[in-house]
Amino acid sequence: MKRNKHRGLALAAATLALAGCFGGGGDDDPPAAQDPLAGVPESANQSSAGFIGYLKLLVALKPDNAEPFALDGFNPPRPDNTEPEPVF
Amino acid sequence: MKTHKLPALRALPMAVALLAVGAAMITAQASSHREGPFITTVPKVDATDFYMFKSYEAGRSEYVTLIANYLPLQDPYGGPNYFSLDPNALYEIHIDNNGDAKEDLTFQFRVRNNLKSITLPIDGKDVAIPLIQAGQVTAPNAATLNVNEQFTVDIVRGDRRSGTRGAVTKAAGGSATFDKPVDNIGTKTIPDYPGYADQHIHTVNIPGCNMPAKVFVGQRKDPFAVNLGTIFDLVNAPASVLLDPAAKNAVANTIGDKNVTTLSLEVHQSCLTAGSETVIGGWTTASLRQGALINPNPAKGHQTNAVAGGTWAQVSRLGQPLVNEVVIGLPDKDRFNASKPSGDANNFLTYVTNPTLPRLLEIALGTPAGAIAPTNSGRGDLVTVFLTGIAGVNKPANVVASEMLRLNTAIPPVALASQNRLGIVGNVLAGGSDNAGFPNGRRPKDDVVDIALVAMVGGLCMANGTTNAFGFGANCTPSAVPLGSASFNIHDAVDQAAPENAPQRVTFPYLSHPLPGAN
Repeated sequence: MKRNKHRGLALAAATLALAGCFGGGGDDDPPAAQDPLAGVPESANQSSAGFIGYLKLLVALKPDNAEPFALDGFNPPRPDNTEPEPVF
Repeated sequence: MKTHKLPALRALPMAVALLAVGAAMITAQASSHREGPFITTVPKVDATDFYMFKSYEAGRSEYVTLIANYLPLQDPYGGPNYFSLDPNALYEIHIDNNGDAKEDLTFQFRVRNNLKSITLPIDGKDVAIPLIQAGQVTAPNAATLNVNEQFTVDIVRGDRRSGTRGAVTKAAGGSATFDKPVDNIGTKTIPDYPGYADQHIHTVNIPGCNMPAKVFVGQRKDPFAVNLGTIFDLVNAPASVLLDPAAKNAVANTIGDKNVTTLSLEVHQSCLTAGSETVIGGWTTASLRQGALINPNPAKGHQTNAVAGGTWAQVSRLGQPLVNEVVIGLPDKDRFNASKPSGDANNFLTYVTNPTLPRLLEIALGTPAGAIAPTNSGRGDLVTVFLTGIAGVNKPANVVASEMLRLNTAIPPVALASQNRLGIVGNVLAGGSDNAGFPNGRRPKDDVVDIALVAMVGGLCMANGTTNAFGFGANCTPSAVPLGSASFNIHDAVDQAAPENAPQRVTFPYLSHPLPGAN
């Protein structure tokens, strides 16, 4: 129970952070909440910033009671001409 | 080029200090094998040694050879997959040709491991084999080779990421893809490995360079020699051996049975230098994609578990040997591996000006403080060697302090047989004419462990004398060296220059063929 509560808090925090990281249409049009453990969002396919932003959310979650999600069709960007994204 | 021959150094006493030998034993470590906490988790991108020297092959004295070794401690028998490089990595050799601590040229190596999926008909079905070879291998990309390793090389002018990129191509045919020899599986699979591997030495054209170059990527016998196990076991060796200067090669090279993977280039010096500056700085790095996800359902293929993406994030850095091993503090080793030379003065300078190693040696050996550690505050000797180069030898005219290997391309090479095993220090002691050795670049024969030991315990201040002959600082004098002239006698009991340790090949790529997995 306690574990599920913690995961719920983590997911809530991740969802908030996700909204901040992945942007959206502004205060009047918030992006849909996404569970980082449910799959890779389209934003992670679109830019390095989107991919690393997603990974930052994912690595903050370390559940021991969930299965990995499929990566079918996932093809992250691989630019050679830019510097890495800051992580912290 | 000016050389200083100090009379006091001509005839050194044979006195050997226990402390000095002990210092040698503790300091000597594998040059950059597994030196940082994180890099031990990703050995395929672990740079082990970097060499940069004027080619000493006859007729090639206008060329510079660049060698970056990766993937340490390869047991030759490590099948069935052996030691292919990482296709999700970027391996680079950087050149700073104006002293500003920023790369002006970068050679980028990317590898591909092509799985042919060779099958055998078994009871009516074609079934994939489990090995990387299906028979004898004698030629590049042999039909029997189930995994054919290939690589590309780009040159980037300017910033390594945002600069102008061009593909290095074969002089014959113009292809930008090169075959890499499979590792030395054994003599039944590859009866003539030297003959096979040498077919992978490619003559190439570099965009913007009007002289042909050579490139080779493949497995080699690890050229670095060191008394490794003994060192890590609290200097577990008889003092009677370690104290005897004549026993500088008393024990076997601990890693003499290991292979590494080399990425090497031989480039005309005119394609590396800029303007009137003859000194170039070099270092190697390896980077991984910043992010990766592990696919729980990996596709059929070769190394398919990780889906990597994002920009390149540097995880390995190597210029001069031993820096990240015995100079950089443990909390900063991973940071150093991720860093650029231009930030060294802000991030790592204290480790050079206030080195911990001499004091650590005193603690380890139970001697009073000051028994080993030189007293010249600021360690101008180490700052010079590590961060700026030696004036008149390998210091760029407009140098920005930063750690890299520096080579004066105007200093001619010396044939292998005549190379001084102690590089510049040895040449000073011998009053010779070999100024082409470490720290003026680095050759495979240079005993960098012993050279670094001499420097760490104050040998350079002995050489600097009372006249600041090398510019190491006015306080860098013999009186600052507790060990006195014995500081020159340090050895780790493994002689890098001994014929059984130093690569004897005198043609590109200079390093010895790898040891076979089976004879």
